[in-house]
Formats: sequence, structure tokens, C-alpha cells
Amino acid sequence: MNLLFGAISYIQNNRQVFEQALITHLELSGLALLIGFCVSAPLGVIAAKHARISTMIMSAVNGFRVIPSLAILVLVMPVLGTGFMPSLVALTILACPPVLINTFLGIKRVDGEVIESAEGMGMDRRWILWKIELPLASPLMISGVRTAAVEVISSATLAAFIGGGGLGTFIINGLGLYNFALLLVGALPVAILAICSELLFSLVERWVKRYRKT
Amino acid sequence: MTDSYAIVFEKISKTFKHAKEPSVYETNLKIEKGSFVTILGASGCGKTTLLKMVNRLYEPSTGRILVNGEDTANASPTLLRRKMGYVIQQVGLFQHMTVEQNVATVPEVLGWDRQKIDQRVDALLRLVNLPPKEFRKRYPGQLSGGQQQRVGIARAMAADPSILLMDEPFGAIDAINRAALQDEILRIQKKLHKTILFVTHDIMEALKLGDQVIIMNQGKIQQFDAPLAILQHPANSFVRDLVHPEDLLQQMAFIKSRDVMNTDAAVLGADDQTPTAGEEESLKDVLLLLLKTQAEYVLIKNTEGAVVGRISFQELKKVGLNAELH
Repeated sequence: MNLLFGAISYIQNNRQVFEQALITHLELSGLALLIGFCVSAPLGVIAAKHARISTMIMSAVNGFRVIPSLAILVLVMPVLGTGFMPSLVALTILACPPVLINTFLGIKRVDGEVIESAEGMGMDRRWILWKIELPLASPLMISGVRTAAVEVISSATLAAFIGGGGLGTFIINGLGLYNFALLLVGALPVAILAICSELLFSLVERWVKRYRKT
Repeated sequence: MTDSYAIVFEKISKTFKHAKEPSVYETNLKIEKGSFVTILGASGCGKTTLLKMVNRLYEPSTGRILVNGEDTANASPTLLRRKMGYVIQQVGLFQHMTVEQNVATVPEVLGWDRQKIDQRVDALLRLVNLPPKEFRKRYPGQLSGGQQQRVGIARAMAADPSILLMDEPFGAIDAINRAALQDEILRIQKKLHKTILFVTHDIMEALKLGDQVIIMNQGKIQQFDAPLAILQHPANSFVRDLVHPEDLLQQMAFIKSRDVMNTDAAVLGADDQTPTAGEEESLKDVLLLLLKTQAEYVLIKNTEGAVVGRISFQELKKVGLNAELH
């Protein structure tokens, strides 16, 4: 309990520092998620449409998946240096696989007969993609984004190691200073953020799947 | 001359890549405008292939297909398809769209304005006996199989195409609902005079629905004729084994009263006791009526309710006579 009060009073006394860290954390994770989605969703669609390159893309993605988040952060450092940008790059790389894999699966799983009936009605490929395939794939895609979001938000704490800022700064400092209240200033909001994003995306997922309710 | 034909197959054949044998051997076929033609055969006989070449889901290997006199090869496939309704088994509905969105698909592709689409959706849902108020906003997942297929039919007719292509549309529906849907599509066909090409593997369905029936086996058309003609004069042993022409009762189910009734004006006369039947009703029903009521004859009425003929055991006997000839 004392630790919790300590953390709260630290936040009250260092409001600006805390807010700055929180904003950086949100910016890092939000941007990484957004860029990751914009890159991997189209890639997922392309992979689903072209059998030949799909194996290539999918094995590359699965390769990336094995690398732990901290390793990715450390690996970009020699190339891009330290600070916000390299952290963003690393987190973006982290956000891609779940979205890409789920987009791929979502498009692949659309019933062939549904596509045939759309073609039979004279829809062209673009209509079919936007009006049929993507809406039908969207529940899986969003669940991919959900996984990515939790991963990115928690991994963004590690960005502090390479000078990316964010809530991780408090955790590192707290560990270094043996100050557990300070550690909580970082850890608690991260946990809350992760839970909130999980809730938010499950709501979106449910809304997208509303047609399945009977 | 070609004007009276909705679909003409000229030397059409289809051989798929890597296949040894053609799926459809060279075929010439003329489908009259406003006719209901069923294509009957076992799976793998080429019936679906034949159908899908009409809207170019499959491209023919040889020959050409004329739709309303125009070579389909010259039209863009998407534009061609928008002019034809297409219905497949129930899974063809878009599960993520409401009933009204499903029905509005083609009008939206064609860019109709909102109000026109709305009116059309209402009219179509009423046509297939789904009250718009109750069904417009529902999702396909909330409907029974039979209701889903009604939506499928409404959707196919959205842009008022003159031709409907139907690929085993009732295949996944239970027997009771299937019979209701069959009656429904017959009623709609009679009302709107669409040209319908209807693929099925169900013999009774093919004979019941078709003005004409195409029987296929191993990529070749075995017979193309009216249901009764097929039953009375099967073209070969394959057709004979398939339709069992010796089953007289079955034959009578496909003979319409109109075709055998005695139209001699002198014999027409009715009192209130005489049973009556419609001219579209089958001889089987008339026979049952005769047996049940113990009447001498049944009076046949047209759709307006006027007496146009009568059927007694005398007329029924001729059916047996025709069948004996084989």
C-alpha cells in the first residue's frame, strides 16, 4: 500500500515528467501499431492472393516472430542509433507479424462460393476485396491488431533501454535506484494501458462480428 | 430467328487444363426466351460447367455462346454478369451484410440512386414472400435455409435481368422447404417470364420445374426435350434408366391437365357437385380427385376460373396406352 501511495505522490509531484513519458509511450505504441498495420495488412492481402510469394512472406514473418522484443530493440541500435526513431522502427517490426498473419488467414478463409457468387453477380476484383473479402476478414484482422497492440504497449517499456523514452524510463530508474514506488509509476500505467487496449479492441471485434449473433 | 432465343450454344466445348477428357463435349443448344430449362445429371457430368460458361465464370474451349443474340466473348465478363441473375447454394449470401444490403448488391454496383434501390428491395422481398419490415435488417445467419435461398433469389433478380442462372439452388434445403421453393420459383417464372437455366441432380425437381429438360451424362447431352416427351420417349438407355418411364404414376405427375383434357364444347357442363381442377394441375392430382370424389369426370378451369375442358377415366386411359407403346 505504501508503495502505491509513494507512486501516486511521485506522479503528483512530477506531473509534467509523468505526462511526457505517458505521451511518448502512447505515441510510440500508437504510431508503431498504425505503421505496422498499414504495411502488413496490404502485405497480408497480397500474400493471400498470390500463392507463390505467400510462402516467402509467411516464412519471413514467422522468422521475425522468434526474435524476442528486446533483441529487436538492441539489434536496431547499431544501425539507427538511439532515441525515438529506432524505438519506433523496432516496435513497428514487432507489430507486423500478428496483423500480417491474421490478414492472410482472414482473406484465405473467405468461402470460395461467396467469392464465386460475387463474381457471378458482376462484381469486379476491387469491389470483391473491399466489400466482401476485407469485411469478412476484419474480425480476424482486428484480433491480430489486438495481439499486436498488447505486445507493442508492453514492449515499448523496453524502448527506454535505447533512449526512446516512455513509461519504461521509470521502471529502469526504479530498478537502478532500488526505488519500487518509482518502478510502479512505470509498471502500473503500462499494465492499465495494455488491459485498456485489449478491452477496446475486443469491443471493436465484437462490433465487427455483430452479424454472427443469432 | 435468333431473336427468339435467349441463349444459344454454338459448338461449345470445355476441356480444363491438365484434363484428359473434355468436361463438356461439343454442344449445340438453343434456349428459348422465357423458357424454364433444367439441366439434370449426376455430379461431374458437366452440367455446372455448361451453366458457368454462360456468364463466363468458365471460358469455353471452343465455340461461342450468344446471349440475346450477342456473342458473350465480346462483352466484359463483369458487365455481362450484371445482366444475368446468378443463384448458387445457400452459402452464396454475404453473411456480413443485412438482407437488404445483399439484395441491393447489383443495383449498387450499377449505381442506382438510394430511393430506387429501396423500392426495389421492398418489391423483391415481397415477391419472394419475405415481409420487408420483418426481414430487411436481418443478417443471413438469422434466417432459415429456405429463407436464405429466398433472399438469394431476390438478390439475383435485383436488376431485373431477363436471364437467371441457378446452380443447384435448392440442393442444401430440406424436402418440405424445397417443395415450397420450387412452387415459388415456378410462380415467379410464370409471372415475370424470365429465362431460367436451372442445374439440379434431383430428377423429380428437373421434371417438375422444367418446360424443357436437358439430361447430361459424361459431358454429353443425352436428351433435350419436354419432361413428358422424355418420360414417353427416352432417347437412350441412360435416360430410360434414369427416369423410369414404366412408372405410370410418376408420369402422370408431369402431365398437365391442359394437355389431355377433352375440350369438346358439347361435353362441358357443370353442376355444383362436379369436382374441378386447374389446367396446370397434374393428371396424378386429377386421378386422385376422381378416386376420392367417385365422380365421372373432373372439370378443368383456366386461371381466370372459366371451364375449358374435362377429364374422365376415358382421357386417363390414353396415358397408359401411350406408355405401353414402348
